[in-house]
Amino acid sequence: MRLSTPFYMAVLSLSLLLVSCKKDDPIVPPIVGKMRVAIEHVWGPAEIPFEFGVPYVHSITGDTLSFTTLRYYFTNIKLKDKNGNWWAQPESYFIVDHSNAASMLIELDSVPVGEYEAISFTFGVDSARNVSGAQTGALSAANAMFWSWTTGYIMIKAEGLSPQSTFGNFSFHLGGFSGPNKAVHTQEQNMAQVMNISSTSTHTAFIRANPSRLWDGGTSISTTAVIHVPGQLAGEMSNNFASWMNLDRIEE
Amino acid sequence: MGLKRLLLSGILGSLLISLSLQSCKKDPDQPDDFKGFVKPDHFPAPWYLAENNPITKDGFELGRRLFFDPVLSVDSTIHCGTCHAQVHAFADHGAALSLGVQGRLGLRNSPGLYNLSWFPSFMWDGGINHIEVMPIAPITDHNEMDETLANVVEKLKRSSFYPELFKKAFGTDQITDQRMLFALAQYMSLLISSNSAYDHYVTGTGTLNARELNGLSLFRTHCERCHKEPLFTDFSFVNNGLDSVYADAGRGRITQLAADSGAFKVPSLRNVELTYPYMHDGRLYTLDAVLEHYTGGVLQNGRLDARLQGNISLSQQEKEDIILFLKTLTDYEFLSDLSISQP
Repeated sequence: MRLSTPFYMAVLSLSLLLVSCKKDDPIVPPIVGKMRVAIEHVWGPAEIPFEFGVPYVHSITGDTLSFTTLRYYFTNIKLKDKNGNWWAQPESYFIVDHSNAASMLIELDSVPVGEYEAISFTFGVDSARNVSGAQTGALSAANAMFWSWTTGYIMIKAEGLSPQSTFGNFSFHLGGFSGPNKAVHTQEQNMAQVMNISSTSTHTAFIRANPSRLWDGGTSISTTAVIHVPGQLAGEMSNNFASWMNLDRIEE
Repeated sequence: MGLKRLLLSGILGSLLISLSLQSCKKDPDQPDDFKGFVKPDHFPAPWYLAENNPITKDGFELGRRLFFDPVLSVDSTIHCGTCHAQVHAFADHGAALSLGVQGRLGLRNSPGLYNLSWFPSFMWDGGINHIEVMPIAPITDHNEMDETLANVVEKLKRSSFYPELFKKAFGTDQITDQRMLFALAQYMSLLISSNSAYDHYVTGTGTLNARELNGLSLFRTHCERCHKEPLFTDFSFVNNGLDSVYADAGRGRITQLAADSGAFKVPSLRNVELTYPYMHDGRLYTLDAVLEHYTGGVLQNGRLDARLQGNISLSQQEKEDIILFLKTLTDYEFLSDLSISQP
């Protein structure tokens, strides 16, 4: 027990030091507010509400598609204030899954208070996270949105049934993080009105995504019902989808 | 945080001391000789720097345990060491293709595993870009372990000892696929083979005999163009004229380019004496057969690598000397190193 006495002395002096450190160096927490990003899925040029298991006719290809899976990466949310400065949400990686309502409502709980006039977001996962080894959270390879044999995230999975498919199903796993066919697409969109974030504000930004846009390039399910690898058509389809993701409105 | 941790360790430390002074003494059976990653002086800078995954003894030991644990396979029948045996420099036991769960046959030859920190890509087709995500392929491949990462994590969480091992390695007992992959990467990155007779020769701590030296000279003339010292590969993808038409597109499967069809990664030749059979599908069983291929069996298939255009001509004596040299790449220290062996 004799030996331990100096330890307690050290512990005591350390804790005193800790307290004095805190006194000398007060940390003022940044004043933050909350907001939400809500994803809405719609179908076709008429933007009717999108649901699983409903047969939709595509306005361009004429194919009939009924969905069972719609999952994709929605990442890197940023907000631009009226001075032109961007705030970027840290570790901003989400999987939007149409079968999971909670995944379609993203909570941002530490937005610095201020007046914002634009939002930026990315469809897909940036190149850096595709080449940096094992990740966690939404980027965990256990989420089944990651190719084991050709490293990279599956940016979007769209699966379902179609009578135009020679075997009845369609399955698109689209990805690719670099090169001309990359399936990563960042959008910056202005808000109709300035969004004033305060510690008590409750804004929700509604982003509309339209899975029919995947086939706006006109390739019928009868020609290609399966893609499970990066490539030209994968890049085109995912960018068609991503470029039609729009900030629809902001509600308070 | 640093002070808090210090505070906590101070309290814990003093408690331990008061409980038992004996516990401060080192266990003589467990010498604390863990050095972590040490780059051999004659090797280039490694590719993998483990920036996000600092290598520790506990992390390495966890990875070693996982590497040899059949919990990674769907029916707990095979582990990494099943097809990557230390006595074969972590290649399979002389099998052309390896057996996965339920006797399913893989598509390509299991390569030896060593010096992986220098690898810019993994697998015969280079499809995997990072050592930390490499094990996902064998764990999830239908013909190999056929398991899911999520299920492996669940099994590890239910284990009576893994939560404690994860806690030792990563500070808390939280088990995630990322931590599992981190641990495996720590183990695999310390599989370093750099103590062969060749290494002792080039570092001035050993000699090669006249025939081995002649073999080295011939090797540098004819083989070095792809099998670059000191790692004995330049990590490029090469169509080496094995077939006219390839059943396996190799690199082409990854790049989706016809020009890459039938190209495979140049394998390292370290420990090549023990990593037989050879080629991406293990079709050649002996080093003699490999030299036969390169001295007369290369097919002009329209996509043959430029470095293999033109015949390599070797006498029987020269071939034997090259093989004698290749055997100086066998690293007996590595093959018998207990610190990396099956626990």
